[in-house]
Amino acid sequence: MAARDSKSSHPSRGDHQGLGVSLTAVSKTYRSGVGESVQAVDAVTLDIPPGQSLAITGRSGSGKSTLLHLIGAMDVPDEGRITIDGMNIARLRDSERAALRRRIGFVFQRFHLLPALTALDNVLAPVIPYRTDFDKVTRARDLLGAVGLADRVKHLPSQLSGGEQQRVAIARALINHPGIVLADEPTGNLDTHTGAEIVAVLDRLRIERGLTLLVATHDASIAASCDRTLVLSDGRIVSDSD
Amino acid sequence: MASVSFSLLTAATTTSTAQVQGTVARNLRPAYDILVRPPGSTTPLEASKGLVRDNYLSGIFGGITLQQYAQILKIPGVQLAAPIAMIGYVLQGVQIPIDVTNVLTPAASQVLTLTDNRTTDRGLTRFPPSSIGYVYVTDDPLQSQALKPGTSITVTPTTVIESTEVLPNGQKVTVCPSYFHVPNLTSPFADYQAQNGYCWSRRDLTANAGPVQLPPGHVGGYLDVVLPFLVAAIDPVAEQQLVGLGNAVTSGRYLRPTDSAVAIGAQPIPGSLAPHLQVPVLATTNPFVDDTDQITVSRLPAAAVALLHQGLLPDQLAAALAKETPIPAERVTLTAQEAYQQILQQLSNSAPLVDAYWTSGPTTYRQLSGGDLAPLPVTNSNSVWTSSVLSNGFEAAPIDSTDLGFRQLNEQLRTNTSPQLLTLHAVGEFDPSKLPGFSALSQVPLETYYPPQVTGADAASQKALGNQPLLPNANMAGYLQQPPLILTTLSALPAFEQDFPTVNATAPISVVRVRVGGLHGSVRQQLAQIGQVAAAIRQATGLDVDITAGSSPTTETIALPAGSDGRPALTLNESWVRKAVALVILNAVDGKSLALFVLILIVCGFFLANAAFAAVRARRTEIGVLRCLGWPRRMIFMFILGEVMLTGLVAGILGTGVSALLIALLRLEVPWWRVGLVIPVAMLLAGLSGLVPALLAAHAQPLDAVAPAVRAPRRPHPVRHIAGLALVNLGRAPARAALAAAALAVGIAALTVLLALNLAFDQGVVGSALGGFVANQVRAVDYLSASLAIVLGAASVADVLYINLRERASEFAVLTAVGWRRGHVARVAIGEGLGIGLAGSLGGAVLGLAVVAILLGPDLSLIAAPAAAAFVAGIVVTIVAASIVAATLQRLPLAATLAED
Ligand SMILES: Nc1ncnc2c1ncn2[C@@H]1O[C@H](COP(=O)(O)OP(=O)(O)OP(=O)(O)O)[C@@H](O)[C@H]1O
Ligand SMILES: [Mg+2]
Repeated sequence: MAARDSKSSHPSRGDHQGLGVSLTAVSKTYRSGVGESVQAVDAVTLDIPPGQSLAITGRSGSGKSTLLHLIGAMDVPDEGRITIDGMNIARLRDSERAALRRRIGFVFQRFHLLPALTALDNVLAPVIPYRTDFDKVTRARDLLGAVGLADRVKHLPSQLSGGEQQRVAIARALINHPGIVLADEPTGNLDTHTGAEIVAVLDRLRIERGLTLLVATHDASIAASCDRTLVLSDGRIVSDSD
Repeated sequence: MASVSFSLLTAATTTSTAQVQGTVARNLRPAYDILVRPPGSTTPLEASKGLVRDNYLSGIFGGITLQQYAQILKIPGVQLAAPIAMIGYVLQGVQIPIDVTNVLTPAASQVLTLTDNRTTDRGLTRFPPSSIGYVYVTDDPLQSQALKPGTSITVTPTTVIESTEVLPNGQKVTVCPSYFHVPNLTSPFADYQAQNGYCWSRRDLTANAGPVQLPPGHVGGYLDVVLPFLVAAIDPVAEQQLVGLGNAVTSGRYLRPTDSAVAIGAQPIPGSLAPHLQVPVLATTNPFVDDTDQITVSRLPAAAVALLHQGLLPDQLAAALAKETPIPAERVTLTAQEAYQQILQQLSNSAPLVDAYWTSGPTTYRQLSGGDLAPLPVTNSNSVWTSSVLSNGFEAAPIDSTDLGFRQLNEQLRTNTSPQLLTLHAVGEFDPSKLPGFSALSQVPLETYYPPQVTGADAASQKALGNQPLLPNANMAGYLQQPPLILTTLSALPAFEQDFPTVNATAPISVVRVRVGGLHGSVRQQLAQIGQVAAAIRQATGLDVDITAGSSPTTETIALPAGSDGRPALTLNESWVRKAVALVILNAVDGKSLALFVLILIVCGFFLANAAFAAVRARRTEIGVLRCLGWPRRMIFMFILGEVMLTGLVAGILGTGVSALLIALLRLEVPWWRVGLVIPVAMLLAGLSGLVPALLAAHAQPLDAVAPAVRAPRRPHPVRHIAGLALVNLGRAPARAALAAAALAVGIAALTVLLALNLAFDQGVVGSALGGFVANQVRAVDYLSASLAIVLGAASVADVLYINLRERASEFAVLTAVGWRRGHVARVAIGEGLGIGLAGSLGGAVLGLAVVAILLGPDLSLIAAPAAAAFVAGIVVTIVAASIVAATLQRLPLAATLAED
C-alpha cells in the first residue's frame, strides 16, 4: 500500500541543508465563544536563515505555539504570508502539504507518541506509508542511538520516562532528514536536568545536520544556547536578539 | 434509531401478515370446497404431491352410486352437492356441401375430385390426404336409378346403384356407380369415401341434392365431418347454484330437473326417423376442438370422362380416377367450429341416432428425472370402432383417432334388442365463457365447461404452438380431453341404461363437487370446518375426498411425446391444483412473522447495548471522578442505568412519533396499541442492555475509570504498514471492537436467517398461483427488514468506530503532522472498520448458518447463498460506514486537536 505513494520527492540522505523560513505580516485570531476573540499572532514579520537556531520565548499565551503551528502548516494564518525554502505554504494541495511536513520535524511539548507502537515503530511512523531511498529500520535505529536510546528500541511509550519519550519524539522528527525542526516546549514536561539533556541532543543534531531549529521555550538557558532569541507578547514580537 | 426500526418493522410485518391473511381469506373458497371422486380414482401421483390433476374428470365414467350421493346430501354442513355423471363420447356427423360451381369449365362433361387434408394441434399434426369422392358434371341428361318410381331391387353384397347418362349420340351409359352396401372394410380408416360420386346434369341441377342443399343452380359434393362429443348428466338445480350454468344459456332454455327422455312415436312424415327416445340436452356453443379440414377441388383431365363412361364397379372407378393427375383448382377451408355450428342446428332439429358411445380411460404418467410428467402412450385396436348398425362394420371414426393415443377407449354398443333408439335433442345452448369467472389464484379445474389449460412450457414448444394453448381434437384417446359439450339431466340416465346395458347403472355419478355452508371464524377455522365435512363424507361413503378450498393452481410440466402425424414432442405447462396451499401459506407467514419479530428484537437490543456500552466507556473519566468523590456504587449503578433508560424513553418517544408518521404515510394497517408498545419495549431493552455496562461501571476501581479508555497493548508487534497499524489499533480496545463485531455479527446473522427464511418461505409457498402472489406480497417487508438489519449492524460498527477514532483523534493529528496524507489516515480508519466488518460478517454468517441449520435443517442449497450474501453485505456496509467516519477525520483541526490532549 505504502509503496504506491512513494513517488513524492524525498530529501536524500546527503541533504542536510537547513531550510530558510520567512514570515511577512502574519496574523492569527482565534474566536472563542460569543464574539470574544484572541489575537494569538499579530502581524509577525520574521526572517530565519537556513541553519539558524531560534528560541521563541514569551509568557504563557503569548502565541508561541500558534506561531510554530503556522510555520508547520498545521494551521493557516488569517493574514500574511509564510514561505519555507521560498515556497508559499498557504496554497498547497494535500499531497504537497504532506510532502512539506516531511521536510519539517515537529517535537511536541506532550511528546504525542503513538502509545501502541514501540519506540522504534514510533520513529518509523512518519515513513510507514512511503517508500524511502534509505533503509527505514536502520535509520530509525541510528536515530534512536543518536538520542541515546539504543537499548530502548522495543519499549512502548508507557514503558519510557518522559525524557526518553521526548527523545523518541526527536528521533521521529528527524526520520525524514528534515531541513527544519520545530520544537514546542520540548522540555516543558521534564525536569531541568533532563530538559538540558534534550536541548543538548537537539543542538548537537542541529549542528551535525545543518538544520534550522525553532524552539518555543520558557527556559532562559535554552534560549541562551540558541543563535537568536525572540520574545513574544500578545502575539507580537517585542524583542529580537538579531 | 433502533426503536424506530423496531416499531416500523413490527408494523410492516404485521401489515404484510394481515395482507397475506386477507389474500388467503379472499381466495379461500373456489367454486367448490370438496371434490368427491370414486374410490381409487386418486392417482398415486396426486396423493403423494398433494395435487388434483387438471383433467380429473377424465377416465371417470361413473363410480359413485345415487345412494352415496344421497348420503353426501345428508351430511351436516353440506350446503350444495353437484354431481356430474359422465356418460361418454357420442359421434355426431354432418355433411358439409362443397360448392364447385366456380371451378367448372365450359367442357360438355368434366370430372372433379375432392381431397380432404385434416390438420390439428395448431397445424402441427397433418393427417394424410384422403379422397372424399368425385363430382361429375355433364350437359347430358342423367337419370338416377334410385329415383325410378316403383322399382324394386334385390340387394346382394355386390348390388350397385347407378345413374344413366344419355350421350349426345343417343347411346346410354351408366355413371356414378355406388354399392348399395359399402363392402365390409378392414379398417375404420379405409379410404372408401373415394367411391362417393356426385353426378350432375346441367339440364336438371336438382338431380343429386345432398342433405344440406346447395343453392339452386350450384353443383358440388359433400364432406362428411364426424366429431366426438362428450355427454354428461348433471343436476340442473345444483349446477345452477354451483356455477350459475343457467345464466350462460344463450338460446333455447336451461335444463329442468324433470327433463328426461321423451318417446317419439312414428312420424307421418316420410323419411323421418323411426320411433325413438329423444334425450333433452343443453349443448355448448364452443366445442373447444382444434381441427381444420382443407378441401382441395381438382380438375381431372378429359380422359377421366371416358373412364366414367366405361361402366366400372365403384371401387374400380375410384382406383382408375386416382391414377389421373389432378389439377388443383380451388381450396376450401372448414374449421371444426364451423362444422360444429351445423351439428348444433342438427341437434336442435333431428339429430342422428346414437348407436354407440365411448368411454376413455385416464392417462397414466411416468415421472421423468426432472419432475416432468410424461403421459404413457396407449394403443386402441380398430375393434373399438365396431358398428352394429352400419353396413361396413365400422363406425365413422375421425381420422384423428389414428394419431398417438394416451387413453384406453371403451366402446358401448347399443344392443339390437332394445326397442327404441336414442337421439339427442338440444333444448338450449350455453356459452361457457359466460360462466362467472373465479379468482385466478384459487381457480379449481372446471372441466365441466372449460378445456384443460395447456400451453408451451419452453420456447420451442411455444413457437411450435404459435404461442397458443394446445386444445383437444377429435381424437378421443388424445392427451387432452374435451369438456362435456353436451349436458343432460340425471333423470335422462335411464334412457341410456335401457339402450346400453353396459352402462354403469348402479353407480352413474363420476364426481360430486361439494360446497360447505355455515362457515365462520378465521381462515383456519373455516378450513377446519370444511375438513370436518370432508372427513364425514369420506366416512359415510368411503369415496375419495379432496379438499379444494384453500387450494391454488399450480403448474405441472408435461412431456408430450411426438405424435404419429407430424406433431413434434412438446413440453407443456398444465394447470393442476395444489391442495392446502392456504394452510401452508398461513403457517409459513406466521412462522416467518414470529421469526422476524424475534430477530428484530435481538438486533435492536444489541444495538442499544452497544450504544449503552459506548456511552459508559465514554464516561469513564466522569464516573471515575464520581467514584473518587466518594459516590457509592449503588448510586453510580442507578445513575448509569437511569441515564440509559432515559435514552431509551427518548428513543421510544421518537420512534413512536416517526413510526406513527410513517404508518400514516405508508398506509400500513397497524393496531395503535402495537405502536404504543414501542416506548415500554424501548425502555426495557435499553434497561436490559444498560445493565451490564452499569454494573461494570459501578464495580470499576476509581483509578481504572480515570485511566485512558484506550490502552497500549501488552505485547507489541512491529508495525510496518498501514494495515498493521489498523490491526494494532483494534487490539487496543479489543472489548469494544469485539462488541462492534458482535453487533454486526448479530445483524448479519439476522440477515442470513432472514434471507434463508425468505428462501424457504418462497420454496414452500410457490408452485401455486396463490403462493406466488403472496410471496410477492411479503417481498417489500423482506427487503425492509433485511436492509434494516444491515443498517443497524452498520450503525453499530460506525458508532464504535467513531468513538474509537474520536478518542484517538490526536494520534491521527500527529500522523498528519508528521507528513501522512489524509488518504493514509483514512485508510487506517477504514482498515479498522474492515477488521470489525470481516470478523463480524464472518461470525454473523457462521452464526446465521447455525441458526438456519437448526431452524430449517442443514440444507446447504438453502443456506449457502443467504450466508454468502449476508457476508458480502456486511463487508460492504462496514466499509461504507468506516468511510463515512474516516471522512469526519479529514476535517480535524490539527493544531487544536493536538493542543486538546
Ligand atoms: N484553538 C484555540 N482556540 C482559541 N483560542 C486559542 C486556541 N489556541 C490558542 N488560543 C489562544 O491563543 C493565544 C495564544 O496561545 P498559544 O498556545 O499560542 O500560547 P503559548 O504562547 O504557546 O502559551 P503556553 O506557553 O501556555 O503554551 C492564547 O491566548 C490562547 O488562549
Ligand atoms: Mg504553547
